[in-house]
Amino acid sequence: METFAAVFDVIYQLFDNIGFLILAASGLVIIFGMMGVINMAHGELMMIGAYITAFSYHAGIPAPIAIIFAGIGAGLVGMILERLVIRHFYKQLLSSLVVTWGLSLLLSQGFLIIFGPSILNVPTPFGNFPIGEQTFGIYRLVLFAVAIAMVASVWAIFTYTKFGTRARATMEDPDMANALGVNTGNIYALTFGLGCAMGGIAGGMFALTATISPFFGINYTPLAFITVVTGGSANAISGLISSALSLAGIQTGINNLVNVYIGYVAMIGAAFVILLILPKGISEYIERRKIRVRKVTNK
Amino acid sequence: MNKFLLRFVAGAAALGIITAVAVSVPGVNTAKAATDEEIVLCAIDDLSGDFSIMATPKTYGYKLAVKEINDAGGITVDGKTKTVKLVQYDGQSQVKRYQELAQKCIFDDEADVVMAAYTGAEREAARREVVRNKTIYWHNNQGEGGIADHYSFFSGPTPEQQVLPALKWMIENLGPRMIFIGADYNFCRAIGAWTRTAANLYGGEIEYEEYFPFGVSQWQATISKIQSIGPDFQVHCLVGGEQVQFYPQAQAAGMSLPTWSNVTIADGYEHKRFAAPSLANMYVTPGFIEDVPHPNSIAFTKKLRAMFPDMVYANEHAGFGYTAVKAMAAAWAKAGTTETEAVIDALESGIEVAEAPGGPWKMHGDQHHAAMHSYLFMVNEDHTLSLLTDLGYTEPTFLKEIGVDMRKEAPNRQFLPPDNPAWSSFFEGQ
Repeated sequence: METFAAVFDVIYQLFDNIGFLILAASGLVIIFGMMGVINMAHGELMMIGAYITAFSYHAGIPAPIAIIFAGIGAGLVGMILERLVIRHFYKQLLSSLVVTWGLSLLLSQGFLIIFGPSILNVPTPFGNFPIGEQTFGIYRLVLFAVAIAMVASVWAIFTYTKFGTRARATMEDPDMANALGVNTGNIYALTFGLGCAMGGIAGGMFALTATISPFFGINYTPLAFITVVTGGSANAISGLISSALSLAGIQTGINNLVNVYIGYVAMIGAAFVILLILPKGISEYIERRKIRVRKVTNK
Repeated sequence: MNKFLLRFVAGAAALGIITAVAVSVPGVNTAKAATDEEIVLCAIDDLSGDFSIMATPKTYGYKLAVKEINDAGGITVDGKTKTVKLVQYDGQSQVKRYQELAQKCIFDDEADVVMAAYTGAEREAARREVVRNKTIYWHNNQGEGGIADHYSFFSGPTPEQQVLPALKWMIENLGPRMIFIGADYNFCRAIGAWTRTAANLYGGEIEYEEYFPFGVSQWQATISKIQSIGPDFQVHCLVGGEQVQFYPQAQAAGMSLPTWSNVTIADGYEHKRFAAPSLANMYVTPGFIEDVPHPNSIAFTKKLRAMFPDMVYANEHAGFGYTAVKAMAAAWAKAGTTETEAVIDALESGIEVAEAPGGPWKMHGDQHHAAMHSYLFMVNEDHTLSLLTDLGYTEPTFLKEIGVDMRKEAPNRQFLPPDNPAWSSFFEGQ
C-alpha cells in the first residue's frame, strides 16, 4: 500500500504538471505554433478569462458556464485585438513581439487600475480523495482531462472542419488561399480568436485553483512559450503533447529526487538542450521519422 | 527609411514623451519647501502597484494622526506653535522610486522626518538615503528587526514579538514537529533563522526547511512532501502572487494542517480577499489589526473608518503608521525643537504612546525598537478571525543581548539571530 501510494503520488504530480503545461500552452499552440505570431499578451488573455470566470461565478453563474463565458469573452477580445493591432504585424516576428508585449503591459496595468490589485478567487470544487496517508485534489485531475480534451478538439477542428481546412491553407500559403476564394482576413481573425478563446478557457480553469490578480498571466506566458517552442511547429499538436510530456516528466522526476527549485531549473535546462539538438522542436523530429518510416515501408 | 521603420521610430518617440511626462508628474501632493510655521513629515508609500493593498491603510493612519495633532493646536517647538504638514509620495511598489523620492523628501521638502516603505528592499533603498543625509527615518510595519542605526526607528513588531512568542504557543499547544517553507530572499531567510531560534529555545523540531524562488506556482510536490511528513504545524513565509497559489492548491488537496504565517492577514488582509475556506486554520500574530479587542483598537478603528469610509480593513500598517506619527509628535514636544539630534535624544529617552491602536507602546531608546503587545489569531472556516490569546507585552531585547546600546554608540548595521552568541550553536552546520 505504501509503495502504491508513493507511486501514485508521483504519477499524480506528473499528470498535474502535464496538465498545467498543456493548458497554459493550448491557445498559444494555435497562435504561435500555427500562425507564427509571438503573442506576449497570451497570459493576459488568460487573465481576462480568469476575471470573467470570477465575476460570473460571484454573480451566481455555475462555474462550468462561467468558464465558457471566459472562453467567449477572451475570444472576442482576441478577435478585436487581431483586427486592430496584430494583423499589421504578421510575418514580422520582432515587431509582433514588441507590440504584443506592449499590449500585455496595457492590459495588466489597465486591470490593476480598474479592478485593483486582486479580486476574490473561486473556490476549488470536487474535494479530494485519500490514498494511504495522503489526500489528493480531484480538480487537478479534471485540469488534466480538460487539457487533453482541448488538444483533441484543436486537432479535430483543424482536421475535420471546413474552417480547419481553410485555416491550414491560409497558414500554408495565404496568397494562394486568397486566390482560391478564402477570405484570409476572416480566417486569421477567427484563428487568432480561437487561440485566445482557448487561453480564456484555460485561464478560467486556473481561476478555480489560483488567486486572481492583474499579473495572473505572468505565471503562464513563459512556460507556455517554452512548451510550444520545444514542441515546434512542424506538427503543432504532436509537438505540444511530446514537449509537455518530456518537460513535465523531467520536472516531476527532479522535483521528487532533489527539490522543487532544481526541478524548475531542470525543466528549463531540458528545453534548452532539446532545442540545441532539435532546433525546430520535437515535432520536426517526429515528422522526419514518420517520413523515413513511410519511405522504408514503401520499398 | 522604410515605412515600418518610420512608424517604429515615431512610436518610440511618442512612448518616450509619455514616459517623460509620467515620470515628471510628482507624487500625490506637490510640495514646496517648508515654511517656518510647519513641521514637515514626508511619507513614501505604495499607493499604486502590487503593494498598494498593504500600504494604503498606512497612509490613512498618517492622515488621522496628523489631523488629530493639528486639530489639537499643533506642537510647540523653537518658541512657536507649529502644525505638522504631511507630504505624501507614491512609491508605486517599485524599489527604485524609493531612492529618488527619499531625496525629494530631504532636499525639496526639507523634511524633518521621513517615514517610508513596506518591503525590506524598499526600506533599505529609502533608509540609506535618509540616514546618509542625517535625517530621522521610520519604518512602520512588521520587519525582520535587528537594524541598529542612529537615525532609524521602527514602530512595528519584530520577530521578537511575533515568531518567538507565537511559535512557543504553537509548540506547547499543537506539538513540537514543524516544517518551514519560504520565499528565497533576505526577509524570509531571516524569518527562517528566527524560526530555528524559536525551535531551539522552546523544544521544537524543524523536520523540513526549504526556500523557493518567487516564480514557483506549482506546489503539488511540496504539498505531498509535507503530507508525508505529517508535522504538528507548518511555518510559512510565502510571498507574492505566484507563491500564494499554495493555499488554494493545498485546500484542493485536502491538506488543512495548522499553519503559522508571518506575512499573511496582518499586512494584506487576505481573509477578506480570498474565497473561504482557503486560509482556514492559519495562525497569525499581528501587533495590531482591527480585530484586536483592546479598547484602543476599537476607538482607533472607529475614528479611522469615520475618516475613510471606503477602507476595506484596518491592518497592521494603519496602526503603526498612526503610532509612529504620535511618537514623533511626543518627541518634538519633549525636545522643544525639530533639531535632529535633540529629537533623537527625546526618542531615546523612552517615548510612550498610550493610545497606540494595539495597546500600550514604548520606544526603547537603546534599541530603536518598541515594546508592544502582540496577539495570536486563528482564521476560521468562514474567514472570520478568532483571538486565541494575547501574547503579552513584549520588550525588545535582541539588540541589548548582543551588547548594542544606541544611546552610546550605533553600529549602523543589521543583526540577525546567528549574531547572538547565546544562539550561535543553533546555526552550526548550516
